[in-house]
Amino acid sequence: MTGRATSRIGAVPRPTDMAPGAPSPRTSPPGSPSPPRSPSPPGSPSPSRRTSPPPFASVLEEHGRALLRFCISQVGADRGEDVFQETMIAALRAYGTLEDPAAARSWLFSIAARKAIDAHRAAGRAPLPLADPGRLADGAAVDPPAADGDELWREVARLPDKQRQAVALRFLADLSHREIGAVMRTSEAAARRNVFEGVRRLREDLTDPAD
Amino acid sequence: MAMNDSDPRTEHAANALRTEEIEQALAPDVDPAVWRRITEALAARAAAEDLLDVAVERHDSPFGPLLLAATREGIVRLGFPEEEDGFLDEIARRVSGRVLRAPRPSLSDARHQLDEYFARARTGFDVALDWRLTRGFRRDVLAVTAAIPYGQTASYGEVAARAGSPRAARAAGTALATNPLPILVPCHRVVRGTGVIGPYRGGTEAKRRLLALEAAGGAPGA
Repeated sequence: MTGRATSRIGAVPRPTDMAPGAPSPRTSPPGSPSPPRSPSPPGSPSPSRRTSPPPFASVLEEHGRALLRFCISQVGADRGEDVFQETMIAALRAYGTLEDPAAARSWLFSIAARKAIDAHRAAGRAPLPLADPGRLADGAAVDPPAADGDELWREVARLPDKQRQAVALRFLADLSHREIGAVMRTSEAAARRNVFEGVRRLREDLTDPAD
Repeated sequence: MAMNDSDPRTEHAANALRTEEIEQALAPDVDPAVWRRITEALAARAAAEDLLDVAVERHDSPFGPLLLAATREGIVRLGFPEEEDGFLDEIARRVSGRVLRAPRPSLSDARHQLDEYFARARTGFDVALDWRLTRGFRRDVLAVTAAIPYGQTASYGEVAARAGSPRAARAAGTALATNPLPILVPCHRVVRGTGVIGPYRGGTEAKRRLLALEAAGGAPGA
């Protein structure tokens, strides 16, 4: 009766093996660099000694809103919530394998980035819905962005996928260029370039709204 | 960035886009009501997919908001308001990190029965308990404590003896001090022999109030 824990931490697949939650195996090849984890020191301590992950409720509270905004930025307001839910369920499924609590943020966003790409593929690469970004799926009110912001959002939607993702990972997820590279499977330099180009384009588009 | 009266377009031309502008452009802030609905949907789906190891809810009581945590097997932990800070961390460390604020049938049962108990309409609890946070002698002590009838008390020595170790009053005290299920397992009914109430996880005052509640005539239907 005692100690019959229904789910021992560490007994579930590693995030990279997240088959149940990852519809497209191609998006998570074995040995891929992400999700970022703390390097296990050689002769690392036994699993029972490992630092336990923080309560998922705390992770949700701390990172959830930014993650939802990231999902909306990638697939639009209508599909953003679905991608968010898919991401959190996949994260919950693989949660016991999160070795480094400090990496929870980049780990979550790497799952979300893949889910967003999956959603794009599922939609047959339909153009991003240029829906009113001030509206979520159920029509509930959110703070409507200023006219200026609305215009900028349309420019965000028009960015090449890599730049849109990199800019969102930088500004909504607050990830470093190195972490963005790990999430997007590019070099740190390429991540930096994608962020820079994306922001530059946004700036130009706004400066020259006739575009 | 200080010249707000200039044309914003010129501002953009002259300056890099500000962080908040980019964030707002990427996606708007999340409305609290929308966020609540989305987290509730997540908790429901997590439960449906059997990914919710521990559900946690707050429950108002005369002592302030109690914290209740339930595994699939039953209530695993009840916390007093002053335990709030470390509560989720303790659950994650000792039970599972897959914990969300979510409803669960055993939680509703326990909350309903606690209300009745505080209203003196109930003298015992009939909810599934998950004992995994205690073991060995401590578990034995809590088991005999659970059998102390409503409105009565026992001494630490008596409880130790009933648990099979008459001389282990001090260890019994430790077991009771670390009771993961206070109120439900009535460790408040164990007092110092001389009529002194003794320590309590929710504070001596809480223990005194629980004993007073039970002494005040018992439940109407008892």
